This record gives sequence, C-alpha cells and structure tokens, in this order.
Amino acid sequence: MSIVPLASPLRASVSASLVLVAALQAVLVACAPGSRAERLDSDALVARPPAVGGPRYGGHLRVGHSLEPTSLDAILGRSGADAYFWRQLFDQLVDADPQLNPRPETSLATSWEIGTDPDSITFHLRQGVVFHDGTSFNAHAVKANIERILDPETVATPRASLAVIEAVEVIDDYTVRFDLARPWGAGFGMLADRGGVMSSPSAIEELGPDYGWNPSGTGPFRLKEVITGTLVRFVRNEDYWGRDEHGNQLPYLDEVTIRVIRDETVRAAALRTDEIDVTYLPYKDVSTFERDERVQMETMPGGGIALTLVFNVNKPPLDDVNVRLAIAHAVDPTVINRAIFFDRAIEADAGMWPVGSWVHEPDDERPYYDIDKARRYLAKAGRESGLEFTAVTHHNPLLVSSAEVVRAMLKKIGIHMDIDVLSSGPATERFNHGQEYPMFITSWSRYPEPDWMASLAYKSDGYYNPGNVLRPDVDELVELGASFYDNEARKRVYLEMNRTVLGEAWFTPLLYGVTYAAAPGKVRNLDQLMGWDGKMNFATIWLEE
Amino acid sequence: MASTTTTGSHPTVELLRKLAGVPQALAGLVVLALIAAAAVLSPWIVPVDAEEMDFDNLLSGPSAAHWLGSDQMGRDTLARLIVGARIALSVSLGAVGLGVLLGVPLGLLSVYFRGRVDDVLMRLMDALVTFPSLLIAVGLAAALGGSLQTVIIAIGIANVPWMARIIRSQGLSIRERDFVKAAESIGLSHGRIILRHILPNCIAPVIVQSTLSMGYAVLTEAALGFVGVGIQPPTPTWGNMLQQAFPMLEQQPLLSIVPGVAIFLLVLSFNCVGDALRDLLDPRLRGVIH
Amino acid sequence: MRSYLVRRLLQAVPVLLLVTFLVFALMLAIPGDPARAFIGPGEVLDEEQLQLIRERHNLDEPVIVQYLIWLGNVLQGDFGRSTQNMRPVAEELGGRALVTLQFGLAAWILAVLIGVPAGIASAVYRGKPIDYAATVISIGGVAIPNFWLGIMAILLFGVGLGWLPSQGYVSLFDNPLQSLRHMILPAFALGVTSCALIMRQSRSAMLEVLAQDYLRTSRARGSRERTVIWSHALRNALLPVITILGLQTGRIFAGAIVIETLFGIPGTGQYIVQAIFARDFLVVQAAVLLMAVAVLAANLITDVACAWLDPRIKFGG
Repeated sequence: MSIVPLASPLRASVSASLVLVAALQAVLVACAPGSRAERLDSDALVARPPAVGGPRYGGHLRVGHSLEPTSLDAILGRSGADAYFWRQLFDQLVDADPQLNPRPETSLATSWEIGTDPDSITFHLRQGVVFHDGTSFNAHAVKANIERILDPETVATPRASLAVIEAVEVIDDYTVRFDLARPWGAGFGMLADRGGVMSSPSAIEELGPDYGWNPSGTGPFRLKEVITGTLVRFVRNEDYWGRDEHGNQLPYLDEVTIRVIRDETVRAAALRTDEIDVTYLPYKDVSTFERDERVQMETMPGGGIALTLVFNVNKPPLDDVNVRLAIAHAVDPTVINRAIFFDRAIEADAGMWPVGSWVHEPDDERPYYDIDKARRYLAKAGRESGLEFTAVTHHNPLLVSSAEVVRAMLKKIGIHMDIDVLSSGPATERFNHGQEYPMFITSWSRYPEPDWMASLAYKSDGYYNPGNVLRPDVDELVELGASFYDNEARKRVYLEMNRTVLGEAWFTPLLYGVTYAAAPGKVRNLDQLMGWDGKMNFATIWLEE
Repeated sequence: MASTTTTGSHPTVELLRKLAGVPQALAGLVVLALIAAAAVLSPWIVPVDAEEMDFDNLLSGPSAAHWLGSDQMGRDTLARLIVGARIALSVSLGAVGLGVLLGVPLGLLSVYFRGRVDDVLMRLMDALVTFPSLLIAVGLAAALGGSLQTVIIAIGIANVPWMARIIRSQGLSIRERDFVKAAESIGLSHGRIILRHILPNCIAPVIVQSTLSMGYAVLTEAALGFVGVGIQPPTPTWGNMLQQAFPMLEQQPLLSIVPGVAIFLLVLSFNCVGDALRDLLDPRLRGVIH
Repeated sequence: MRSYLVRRLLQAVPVLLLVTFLVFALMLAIPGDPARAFIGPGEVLDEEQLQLIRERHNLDEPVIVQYLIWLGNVLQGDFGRSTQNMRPVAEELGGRALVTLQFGLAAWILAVLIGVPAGIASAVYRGKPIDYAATVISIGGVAIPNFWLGIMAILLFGVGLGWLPSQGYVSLFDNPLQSLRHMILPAFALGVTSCALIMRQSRSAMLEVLAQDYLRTSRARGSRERTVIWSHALRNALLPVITILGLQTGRIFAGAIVIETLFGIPGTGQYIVQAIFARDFLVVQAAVLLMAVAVLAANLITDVACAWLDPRIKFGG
C-alpha cells in the first residue's frame, strides 16, 4: 500500500479556497464528538483499527434510495440520481465543496494552473493512485477519459458540458493540459460532476459494453454485487488514497448496500423498522421522524427546485409577457407548501439557483404572490375577460397535486387552465421539443454549476429552452458567465441573467426543495453524507457499535 | 329460451319484475339506481364544487362542512365521490358498449364464415385475451395520455374477445339446430339466418356477460387510476382519489376508505344483478360465465 | 393426445406473433422521437449523438422491418439490451419474473388453501351460519378491488397493529422467514378474487356430489361419511378449481401490476409499467411475450389436467 501526502504543495490559484477549506476542517474537528485536540501529521502511517480521533472502522451501512442506477459508468448514465451509486466508486479530477469551490485534497488533481494565451488549464495529478483493477491513474488515463466523453460514438451524457475542450495533451505522467476554445470558469464545476470522473482505461477496453456494470474507478468503495431493481452492494477499497483530518485511511465502512425502494412511504417505513440505516425522507413524514428521539436528521435547504413554472415564451396565449406575469403573481406558494409539501419546502425568493447555491441571492424584483398585481397584468395584456390554456406536468403525485392547486388559483383571476399529466420523459420532450404546451409545471434538479442551467435552459439553442427565442443579450451573458474564473464576477453575470429569466417570466420558481436525511444515532458523521450536489457520499460515514 | 317467455306485458318489464323478486338483485338494483341518480343529478346535488379548495380544512375528518371529510387540498370528499360516480358509470357503460359493439359482429362473422375466417378471428381474440386489459390501458395511456376516452377504449378492447367468444360458442351450437337447418333448406340467405335466428338467441348471454363486465370495468378503472395511468386529475375518479389518498394513509385513513367502499358497492350491485339475470335468463350459463 | 398437443402448440405460434406485433406497433405509436427517450430528465445529448442512437437501434427503419429484426434476434435467443440501463433484457426480466412467480404462487396457494375447505364446509353445512358467511365472503371477494383490500390490510396489520411489514420485498433466498412475512399481505390481496371464485365453485361442485344417489347409498351402507366426502367430492371439486386457476393466470398478472406498485415489490408488473413509460421497447416486448407464453401455457395445462382428471372430457375441438 502506497502512502501519499495528504495535501501537495499548493499553487497560487487555489490557495484562497484552501484557506477556507482549512478553516472548515478546523471547525469540523472542533465539533466532531469525542475528537481529540491534537492533529496528526498527515504523512503519518496509521494502521487500522483503531482509528485516531474517534471513528470506528468496520460495519455495514444499509441505505434506502428511490431509483436504481441507469449505469454505474458515470458518463453513460442517463439520470442525475446515478450519482448516489457512482460517487462511491469514482473520484473526479476536481472535487468541490458545497459552495462549489474546488477542493484539491479530495480531488485527483492536486493543483492546476490556468493559461490565458491560448486558453488552457494544466492539471498536476495525484501520484500513487490505483484503479480498482490495479492499473495506475496517470495523465494518460485522464486523456483517455476525456477523449472518451468527447467522442460522439460513446454517446456520453456529459459531452455537452466539456465541449469547450479542444485537445488534451499529456505533458508527463502526472501533468496534463486541457487546451480550451475559450476561458472556462465553469470548468471546475463541470469536472467536479460526471465530466471529471476517472475510469480505468484498460478496464473499459477489456469489458466493452459490459463495463457499465463492472466499473473500475479509484473511489473509496469497490462494486461487489448488483441485483438490478433491488440493490447494489459496495465493499471497502483497501487501497483507497483518501485520508480523514486525522490521517486515518478512508473509508471507515466495510460494506455499503444501497437498496432500491421506489415508494417513499415504504422507504420511511423501512427506516422505522430498522431494515435500512439511512434514507432521504418524504416531506409528509418529516414531522413524524422529528418526534422520534432515536433518529437524527440532517437537512440540505435548496436540495433542488421542488416546484417551478416553466414557460414557452413563444406559445400563445402565454407568448405575451403580461399574461405570464399575471400567472406568476397569481400563484401563492405558501398555500401549496402547506397543502402539498407539509410546510417543509422553502418559498422561492430568487431564481433557479436555490438557497444554498453560491449564486443565490434574495431578489425583491422577481414576481411574488400578489393577486391585485396579477389582475393588473392581465388587464395590461387586454385579457380581463380571461383566457384558456393547457399546462403539462408529469406523473409525480406532488406535482400533480400542485398543478391542481395552481389551476384553482388561476381560476380566481379568470384563467382556465387544463392539465395534461404525462410521464416525465414524454412530458419533457413534448414541452421542450414538440412545443405543444405553453407551460410546464415541474421540479428541477440542483445543479451546483450554474452554467449547466444557463446553457441548457436560457441560451437560445439550449436543449431545455422550449421557445428558442433568439435573445443575443441572454446568449452573451451565458457565455460570459461560463468564462470568468472569479466566482464573484460570475455571480454578477448570473444575477443579471435572472432579471430577464424571472422578470419576463421564463421561469417562475415557486418552492425550493429541502433534502431531509434521517438515520438512527449509530450512524456518525451524518453531516458529511450530502455532497456538494446533495447526493450521498459514504466515504466518511462510520457506525457505532 | 327463457327470455322469450312473455305473459302479455313487455318482456323487459317482465324481466325486471322477476329480478325484483330476487332479494340480492333487488338490493343491487336499488343501489345501482341510487348511484345512477346521484351521477345524473350531480350538478344539482353536489354540496360544493368538487374542485373547491378549503385551505382551512386540510385532511379533515367528517364535519358539518364536509360530511365525509376533506382531502389534502381541502376538497370535499362527498362532492368528489359523486362526480366520481359519474365517471365510474360512464366508463363501465362505455367500455362494455364498445366491447359489445365490436365483439358481437366479430363473433357473428366467425359463426357465419367459419373455417379460415373463424380461425384468424379466434387467434386474434386469443392474442387479446393473453394480455391483461390493464396492460393495454397502460400502453394507451403512455401513447395518448390517460383520459376518459383512452380508459374506455382500453377496457372496451379487453371486453371484445369475451363477447366474441360467447356469440361464437352460442352461435355455432345454434347453427346446428333443426330450425336453422330448416331455414337453410328453404333457401334463406346466411345473413338473414344469422340476424333473424342466431343473433336473437345469443342476446341473453350477452346481457348477462355485459352486466358482469360492467362490474369488472369499474374495478379496472379504479386500478388504472390507482397506478396513475387512468383518467387524470383534476377530474375526480374513484381510482385517482385512492391514488392521492394512499400516501396520506397514516394522516387521514378515511380518505382511503370512502372511495373503496363506493367501488365495492357498485361492483357488488352489478354482480348481484348479473348473477340473478343469469339464473333467470339461462341457468345453463352457470358454467360458462363467471 | 400427442396430436392434440402439437395442434395446440401450433395454434399458439400465430397468437404470439400477433401479440408481439400489436405491442410493437402500439409502442411505436407513442408520440415523440424514440431516440430522445434515451435522454434522462435534465440530461442532454446533441444531434450527432441522437443520430448514432437512431442508427444503432434501427429507429429510422419502417415498423415492420424493426419488428422483423427483433423477431430474428429473439429466434436466436437474443432479447437485446434494455435502453434504460443497457443490461441484457433476458437477465433483467428473469430476476423480476421470479419475484412475480414467487408471490403469484403464494397467492394461488393461499386461495386454494382457504377457498377449497371453505367451499366444502359451506356445502356440507348448507343453510347453516357457516354457509352464509362463506357465501357473503365469496360474493364480496369478487367485488372488492384487490388493491383496496391491500390498502385496508396495510392500515390494519401494518399501520394499526404492526403485526406484519406493510410493504417491501425480501428475497426468499436471503431470508426465508422475513420473505414469507413480507409476502403474506400482498399474496392475500392478490389471491382474494381467485379464492372467492374457488370457494363458490367448490361449494356448488360439492353440493352436486352430495345430491347424487351413490353418495346416499354409500351412506346408507354405513361407510364413514368423511371418507365419502373426501374421496368423491374432492375430485369433483378439483375440476372447477383447476379451471379457475388457469383462467386466473392472466388476471394474476394484471393484479400484479397494481399489487406490486402498492406493496413496492420489484416484480414483472411494476417493471413493465416502468418500461412502457421509459419507452424501453425491448423490455416491453420481452415482458409481453413472457406473459403471453405464461397465459397460453396455463390454459393448455388446465385443459390437459381437466381431461386427465375427468375421463368424460375428450381431446376434441
């Protein structure tokens, strides 16, 4: 087993974020129950067990999750929820903290330099890291992985997110340079997601189409078993390079089983009857578990957009901005939250970057519930006599019920809204591509990298921009936002973008979601369960006896 | 045949009189009449608009304002139940009607042509029988979206093979009877024979099967609604009421109980009437129709 | 006998072709670009990637050509890969079919174990309270929505009394006891219709037997009543029971769709609904084929078993 220094020498470009991370770690250490004051030298060899600082090695964590993976090869998966599975198996080139600051000490790249003429990023790689199949991680592996995503034949989902990369050059075994078409401030966010996941090139070559279910990454766990539709089992990667703040080798757990339990009520019941150890709770059950003293809970405010109105600005009768604004002002999220979400979601106070996102900032200018204003907008549009349209939503019970409430609210200002309920694929496709509906009542995932939302949904040619109205001003902002390397500068661009998106009612987010993770007291470090994207990580979770 | 024995009055009236003599059938008829009346008169008797949301009474139990309680959005359960009755009856009448409309002619074609045509038609019917109506409905819902029409079509299609098979089995045996042979020998056309002699003699089992199928159609609609592929909200159906109520089972069980009881009563009534009709019209059908 | 079997099997071939073609056509009638069905919510593929998907899955070919390609592959034992997770369809479906088979069988066993004795008892004690009770149950059992019965069972045993796990699934091989405990409620809900029908049929079969002369004579001769009832009556009651089980195969599949959703059981029913909505053509095709084969096989077995039990039935038309 090779030992690697925890943190390699840092480059100037990332030092600022490192200070923050160090501060956070200090807080964590101070808060950790039973943790000792002294910190071990990160280079120290720590045998296991016992671990230093309190954690216990061993144990089997049983997790309940709603969806089965579409693939364990992160780049071929077709669902954001796949991350619950692949995060355990892989490391990314760049990892991020919840504020989306790069976090080199948990990344496969230990440092990087940004080149501006021509645009490029040069990554210095962690040494001594091995894939689960025993081959070494190095610059050639990075090149192979990125090129695999960019190759259309692979049909990789993150391809669009890496389109800026023109070439990948291997400088030496542990240095690799990405040549870019333009500055790429969004790159770190994109590489922290699927685009930066590193698979063993030799395993990919050897297994071909079967690699998707026999993955070989560098992550804290190896795949043990998949019973599709039922469960995925992981075992501890004995050779994992990651260390905790005391220098203990990660992960602590011997085994993790993620059981697929589709129904949220069943999942909550399974937690109560001790069939699983940790799960995310449905809103309706949160208060029951809050009263249960055996259960601890962690929340992540803004773990997604729980409810949003999406408009096709090109589709009558909602092609009139005043009609859209009338609708945006006529819907009272407080009531929906109470009736459908048991008051557990958060009323939206900004755009599609929710609470918890570094781009979030409360916005007084966006439409809020105000029925008089709604009537005035309707009058301004010359539609006081009312109008009719059909909105689409998908089979999710929370969305269908919310749509019913929206319908009842619009009725009050004389708008008659019919509802078409479709399954999520067809609903999304028929709204965005069939251009069949002027409005979509839906939820939206949390994408910490704002460029993902901006280039997919705001840009004129974006896949999720149903109207595809040519708006050079917005397009320019989207490109600008992706290019800055400075987060503050980026944030200003995205807030500017919100003025159009919210002010002209392209999107009217109503409720931000809250993720509630619950587990019995024996599950420790629960506060580290939810990663920067809200998906579960088990690398630092441990179990009390 | 039993159905043709008349004693002066109209045969339908006579049949109803006989039915009323059977206690279960009478009870079934009364419940059916009540539900039908509620459905037809719903615009006048529904206490409040079924879509009206009373946000001060969410998930409430029975009260003066809401006799059967209210749902997650504060909608009145009784009002939704009555509107749902209208849907349940429309679906059962529509689906069985469609089944008869398609199934009877197909069965007659089989009887008329026999041989190759009969073979092809019956294999088609076998194919339809092998996959459950629920599956047809899910497929149609995915293709067209869940609506009253798709649900009626889906359940109706599932009824076709049963109707066709009944006509065929009755028809084939009748064809062999003397009076048909006699008609043939005096040179009556096949079409005439089928319409004048075979069809009237097949009506009794079709009526019985239809009544029983209506009950089954109500059950299927409820199941579709529960799985989420039936008629979609905001139109209240007993099935989608149950779907929306189920996650709230612990918070408000009454919401799950009420529509289920309604479904049960309606199906039970159809079945009681159907069983009695079968016994009255043709006791021999006991083994043929379940 | 052999020629009968061969004829029945030959008849099954066009039926299976028809079923699969109808489903194939229905799936392709779902509006929208099937290539886009490969894109998950919030994901994106560009036009170049979509075109590759179309070429690889022959999505640009006419329906009939696509069907023939599928048929050719199936005849070689290749059911293709699921578009949802790129795994071999046969593997995916096989595991789930076992789950459905497991609790479908449990439902049948429960239905027979309760239905036959109750039916016989109600005939033997005709007109007594036990008969009325059984009759009410058998009439009610057919009219009650099975999933609603499941909900009520969950309310009573799961939520209220806490005796049984209300939902979820445990494999019989992982933990037999837990597995059985999990199976009781769904098997009960799924089996209640069959149980009611069996009860009714075995009651009337039994009544017929009891009314027959040879029974009176054998009773008069003094042979023990119990022996008589069991030997003569059971065989007669068995026939309708088998017929019902055969007829119910299709409905068990239909019921499984709802019951699996309700109880969170990862079986075929839930899977096929999921596949239809994901437009996972190959999975839907294979699942429908499996169901059709199961239903046809059940019908054949029923007919053969009835003929074997009852010499009066001949292998004719």
